[in-house]
Amino acid sequence: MIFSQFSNYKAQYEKAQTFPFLIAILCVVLIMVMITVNLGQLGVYKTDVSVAADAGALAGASALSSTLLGVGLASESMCGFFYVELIVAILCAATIIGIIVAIIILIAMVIKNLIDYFEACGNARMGVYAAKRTAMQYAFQNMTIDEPRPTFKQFLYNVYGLSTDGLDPNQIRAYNDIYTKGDDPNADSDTRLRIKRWTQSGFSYFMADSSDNGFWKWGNPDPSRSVPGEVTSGYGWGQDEIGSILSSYRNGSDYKGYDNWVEVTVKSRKKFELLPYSIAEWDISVLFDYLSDWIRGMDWGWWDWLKEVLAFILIDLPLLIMKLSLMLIIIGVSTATGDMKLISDNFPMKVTVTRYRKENNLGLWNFRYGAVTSRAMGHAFVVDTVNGSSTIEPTSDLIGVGMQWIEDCLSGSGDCDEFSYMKTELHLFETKLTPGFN
Amino acid sequence: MKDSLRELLIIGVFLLSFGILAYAQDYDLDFEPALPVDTQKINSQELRLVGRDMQAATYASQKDRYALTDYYNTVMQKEGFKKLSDQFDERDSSRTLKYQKDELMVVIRIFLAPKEKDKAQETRIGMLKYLQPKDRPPLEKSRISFKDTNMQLPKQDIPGEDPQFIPRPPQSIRLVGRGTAGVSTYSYTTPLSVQGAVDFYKMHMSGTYWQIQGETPTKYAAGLYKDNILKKDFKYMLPIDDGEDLDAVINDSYSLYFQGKYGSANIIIYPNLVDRKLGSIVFINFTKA
Repeated sequence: MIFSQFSNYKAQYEKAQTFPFLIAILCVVLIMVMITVNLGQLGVYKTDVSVAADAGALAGASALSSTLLGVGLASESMCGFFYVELIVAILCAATIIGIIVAIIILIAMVIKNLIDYFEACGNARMGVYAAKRTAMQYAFQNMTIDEPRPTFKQFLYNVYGLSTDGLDPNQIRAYNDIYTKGDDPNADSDTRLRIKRWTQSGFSYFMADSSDNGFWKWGNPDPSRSVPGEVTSGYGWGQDEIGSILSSYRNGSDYKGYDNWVEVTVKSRKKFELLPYSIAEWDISVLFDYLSDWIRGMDWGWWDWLKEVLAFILIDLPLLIMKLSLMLIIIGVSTATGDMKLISDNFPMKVTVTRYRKENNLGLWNFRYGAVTSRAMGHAFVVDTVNGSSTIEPTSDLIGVGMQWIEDCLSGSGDCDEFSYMKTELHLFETKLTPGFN
Repeated sequence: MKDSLRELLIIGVFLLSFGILAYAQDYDLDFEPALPVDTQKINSQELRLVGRDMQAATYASQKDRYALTDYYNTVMQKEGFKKLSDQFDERDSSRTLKYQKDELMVVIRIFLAPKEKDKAQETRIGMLKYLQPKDRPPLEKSRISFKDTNMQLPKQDIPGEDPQFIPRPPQSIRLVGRGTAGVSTYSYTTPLSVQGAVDFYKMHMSGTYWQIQGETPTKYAAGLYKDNILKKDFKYMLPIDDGEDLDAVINDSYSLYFQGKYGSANIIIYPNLVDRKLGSIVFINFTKA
């Protein structure tokens, strides 16, 4: 009845004639929505990698600033030690039998500051290592990794070989507590490792893993070894629950074989070239002129006349040996050119972050993502203040103050026991970010 | 023929003996010019400086400076000495006379004694004698030696203090013991070798109070230093005539770094600079917590 009625009226009925157009328009709108969503997602990814690159570059540059601060303070400390021990050597040299003791102290100073210099170079090398590691870590951590966490059922099965079906509510509650906390202090070490593995996402595990399977594959910091100039690490994951857990970084460099992957590249120089900083001859010439007069002015008792007759042997020659010893002492660290601004500008921390997602064809629209890349560059830079510019060398004020302190001490107007002078503010470096470098 | 040879030999031996005698006489540091009247010896000392034996003596005299200058000019001339210089120093109105006979050098310095209350100001005479062999450079061009009097390592502790919480090496002699409120410095000689002293400190400072934080052989640091200054053939040297090779001493040294509840201690140990058979030198830099 209905069908025959429909058949009879279908040619004359004018209602719903626009329906096919509506369907077509709906499809167009749907495709436009999908394009919008696709573009939106691409925008989100672009923002995501941009934030990650900026965060990595800034964090790396910040770590470099800290390294430069540490080197600067070590430099200042070496210079301070130089003055503290120099006064002891001078006081020893002031007696006729004390010159050998003075030489012994000066040689110990040569050795101590040589080792301090060695350590400063090692720390600078490890500082670059730490900066690269920090940059990579921050870049990864600032990425949105939409990877599912293992489910409770997966956790139960893979850690204990159980399923929820065979457990009573109390047992389920107890296991769920462990699943929520991510640890069970009462379990043996193997079980605890499995708990850790199956309560966090593969990415979390990737970030926490300190072995070569983790995000950092260049070992622990070692002062004798430089990290390569360019380091690249990546993580890949699938969209399905179980697929992502057993996949990704465990396949080494095959992270690009997954539906999703993120890759971080950090590039910078391998190390800071730190040179020994020695006291300039003119700095100590003034001091030695003073010392020469000071020793000549001392009363050596019945030897006094001998001091005048043999001044060359008893005063000038020992002072020359002391002066030469001092020239051998490293009193801080310096840069190759001495131009700290140039050095810091030429030591950028370049971070490149790439997010890839495989295309997804939904019939009406093939969602395309591809690889979205963003770059950022950070570096530590010299700060100019009224007291001077940031430096890793001992501050020139310290050299002046040190010489004055020695003179005051020898003339009796100062305290020989205490020498504390450190201009921390002149070893501070700021951090600057340049997004989107080429 | 035999007799003539024997005669020649006897003459030769005689001449040689005479020569040795004459040589010994010329080189005798015991030469004493006659003392002026009213003059007596106050002190004397045998020295060894820049590789030469020397004798120094100080005399007190009631005669004035001018009379003494004339006296020595006359006496030394009579003894056959040649006057090399006569210098007047305006700062203390002293006069320094320098004479030479063959290889014997005599330096006489005439100066005023410190003024004492209610007493006439005495004159002092300082006399220094040393040999200046012709084949050796003059004093001014000579180098200091570890055999010199002022370069001898102390035979007993130099006044000072020992660190409270850091042990002294066994059979050590203190060279420096300067404790302050902040950074203190101590130094000792010890018959222990560098490795022996390193082991001693590692064993005695690894208890409750100290934790070893670092142990660095200096050779790595020295190697890096030479690399970085781009002079691989650089050698540490000092203008001292004898003793150990400074470069080897620095290369064979060690640095130990300890931290503990009392503060931090950096102990530098290096072979004895004078002679490594004497053991090693320990230098302690202690910073209070």
